[in-house]
Amino acid sequence: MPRQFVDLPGAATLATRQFQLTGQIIDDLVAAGATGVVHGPAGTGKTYAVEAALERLRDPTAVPGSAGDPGVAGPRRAPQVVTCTVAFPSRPTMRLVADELVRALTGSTAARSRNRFYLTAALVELLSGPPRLVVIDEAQRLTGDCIELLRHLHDHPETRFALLYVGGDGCWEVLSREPMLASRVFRRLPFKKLDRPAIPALMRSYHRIYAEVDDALLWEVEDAYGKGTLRNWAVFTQTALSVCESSGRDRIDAEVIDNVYAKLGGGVT
Amino acid sequence: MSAATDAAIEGDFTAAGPAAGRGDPGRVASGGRIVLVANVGDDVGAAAHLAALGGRADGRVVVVRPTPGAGDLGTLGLDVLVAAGKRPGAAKAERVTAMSWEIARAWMRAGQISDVVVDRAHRLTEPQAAALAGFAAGVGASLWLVWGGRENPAHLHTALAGAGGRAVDQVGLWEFRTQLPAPAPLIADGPGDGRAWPALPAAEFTTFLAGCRRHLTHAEFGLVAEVYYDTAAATDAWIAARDRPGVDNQARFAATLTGWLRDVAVGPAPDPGAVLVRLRAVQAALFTHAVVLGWEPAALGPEPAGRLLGDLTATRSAALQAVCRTDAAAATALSLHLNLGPTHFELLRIADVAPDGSAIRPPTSTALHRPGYGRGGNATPQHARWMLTAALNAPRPASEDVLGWGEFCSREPILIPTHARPIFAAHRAYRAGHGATDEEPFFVHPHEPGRRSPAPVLREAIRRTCRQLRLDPPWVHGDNCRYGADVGLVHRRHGWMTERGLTMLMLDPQYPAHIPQPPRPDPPARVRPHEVRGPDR
Repeated sequence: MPRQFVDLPGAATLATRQFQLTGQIIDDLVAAGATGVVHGPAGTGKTYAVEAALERLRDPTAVPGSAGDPGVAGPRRAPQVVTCTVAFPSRPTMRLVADELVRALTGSTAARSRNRFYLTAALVELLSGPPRLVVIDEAQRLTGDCIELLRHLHDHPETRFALLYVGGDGCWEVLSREPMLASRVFRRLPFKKLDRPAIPALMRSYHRIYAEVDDALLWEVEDAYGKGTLRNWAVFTQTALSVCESSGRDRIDAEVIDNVYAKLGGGVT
Repeated sequence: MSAATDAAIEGDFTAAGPAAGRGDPGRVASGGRIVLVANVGDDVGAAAHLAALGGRADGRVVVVRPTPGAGDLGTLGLDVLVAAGKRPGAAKAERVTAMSWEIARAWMRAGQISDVVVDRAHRLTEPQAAALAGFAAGVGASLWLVWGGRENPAHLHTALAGAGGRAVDQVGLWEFRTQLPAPAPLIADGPGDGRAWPALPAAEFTTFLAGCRRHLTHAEFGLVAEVYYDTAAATDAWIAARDRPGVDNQARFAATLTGWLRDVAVGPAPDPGAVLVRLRAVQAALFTHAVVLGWEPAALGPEPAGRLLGDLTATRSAALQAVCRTDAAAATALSLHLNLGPTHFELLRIADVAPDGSAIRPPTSTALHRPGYGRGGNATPQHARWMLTAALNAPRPASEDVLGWGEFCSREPILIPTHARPIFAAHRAYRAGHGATDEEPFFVHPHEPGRRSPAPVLREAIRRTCRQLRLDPPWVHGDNCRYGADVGLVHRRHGWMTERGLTMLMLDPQYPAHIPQPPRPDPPARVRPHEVRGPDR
């Protein structure tokens, strides 16, 4: 499984609808060699869900669909593709995107003396081999020029790869501004914050320290700190776990929560 | 060296030169044009079209894909060399990088390139656009600049205005596809030379090929396998270039599929044997994409495979060209081709019919519900008023309104067989000769145009013309037949699929991941003597 945020021991993967859909969407993209977008606010589990799906794609024994969850069983193996993930700093140049892609695909750095033509031709050649899935993380940072380069590579008749843009706030707004991309999005999955009514059930399945805890207490944590994002819940859970262990408790209560709030800045987020 | 070759190298291209007479009857002669192609929405279908153009069997269209972000002439010259089929690193390895334009010009002249298509042309700099215009002129080819930005690229106009003073045309994607069509998939014909097909098994598509392998001789099976795998590969390529079928786009996909079966994959097959093999291959290929194309031959009478062929045959086209009235001939040809009555024909504009009659752009699905029929807001007020009148005054059979429309309003052009194209071109010329503009209807009422719907008159004309051809197509009957197979509590469905006992059903889109993909041999690189080019039957 992909690494949990803050390496939380004992945490289970929450098989939310969005998590499951991510696996299915990535399978669809790989099968069609198409373009997709996964976007949503920070901390809602996009990167984790995508990493889980990529891990499954790399695992020859895994099953298709929303797997990543070892509990899901099926008769056939997941499609085997070569995956690579790239991320860029804010407002990258076209040259940087090309360089990073070469590095992700070959493991080596492109020679600085290579001009755009040879660099692009090399990328076309690299991407024309076995089926690939290229994941662009933090896609909201891309400029129109960068998207143009990715479009050029993806539409080239010799290449065959699926392209997944993953991004936080503003990602879809940035990508949909470009007609070259908006017209090519085959699958789009917006991630949303967790539903407040579903919080107690989700958290009880998330970690043992929430088992048999009152709904009201969990909602209080959600309102004060969780705010519907899994990342906040992971931070809270890790802190609460350490407090529980030091105080010899196996689940949280009001006193533990107060202590956690104190450690997390008085509950002010 | 021949005089013609000398003339070509000197750039003296005449009607007999490389820019003319490409041996493709669907092509509009376009030697030496400069055309700006508007692709404002950066349609994904345009990318598929460019990919298909680049792979033309005759190799006379090259597609230049400028390197993103490179605004210099040197890089563009290398892009042109790549478009000419050279390896990207070849120029550097052979130390001729600085001569890329010159070398590309020589190769393209020798290859008699007729059209140079440039993708993403709005990103070219002025010097690059001017260089391409000069290059195309030197080669004697037409230059198609496909621009995809939101705004009309003024800098291209500026650059092209200063490049030899040639006129610059502007067209949309529809015209682009019509004037520079992508090649139809190459599908083998079968035995040819008058030889007959062997008796083919009556097995369903799931076991058809296995049945052939079991019951036919090795040579006979080779014949079947060639057609079968060609068709399956063409089906895969077709479906890969389109929206994936899903529950939400089932009707749209069905319409598109019908058009493809009718115009390319099944309808134009040369004989009943080939059409059966093609159908079985299409069924098997579609099944792997979660689409079940069912065929119920029992209702089609003896030799049901023969019913799969198109109804607009070369013989019937020839007979229709003996008819004087152009509207009657065109409406009958269209009705026979689509297996539909003329109820919705009035929605066609003159601009929807290619000047050479090779293709017809169907109306959009909104046209039926919007009397103005203002596709893209470009209908004239007169036409809008006329459509409103027509919609109110023309009672239509429910069967056609509901059922026939689906097949008619496909998003892709209706391709007309070569032998029938003069019929549509003639009626277009007739309408234009009467002063009709491109936005006016293709079919009008002969006595009260603009006031009454032409559908009843067309229906009568089609019936009368069909009687001359000794045909009695059920889809132009006035009502359901009182006796015979049409009796029932619901209207008989009409359409190309229904007339051939075909049905389409979508499965769960996740389904293909769960079924084995049967192995297919790589398509052999060969030139076949009996290649079928879609509608050029």
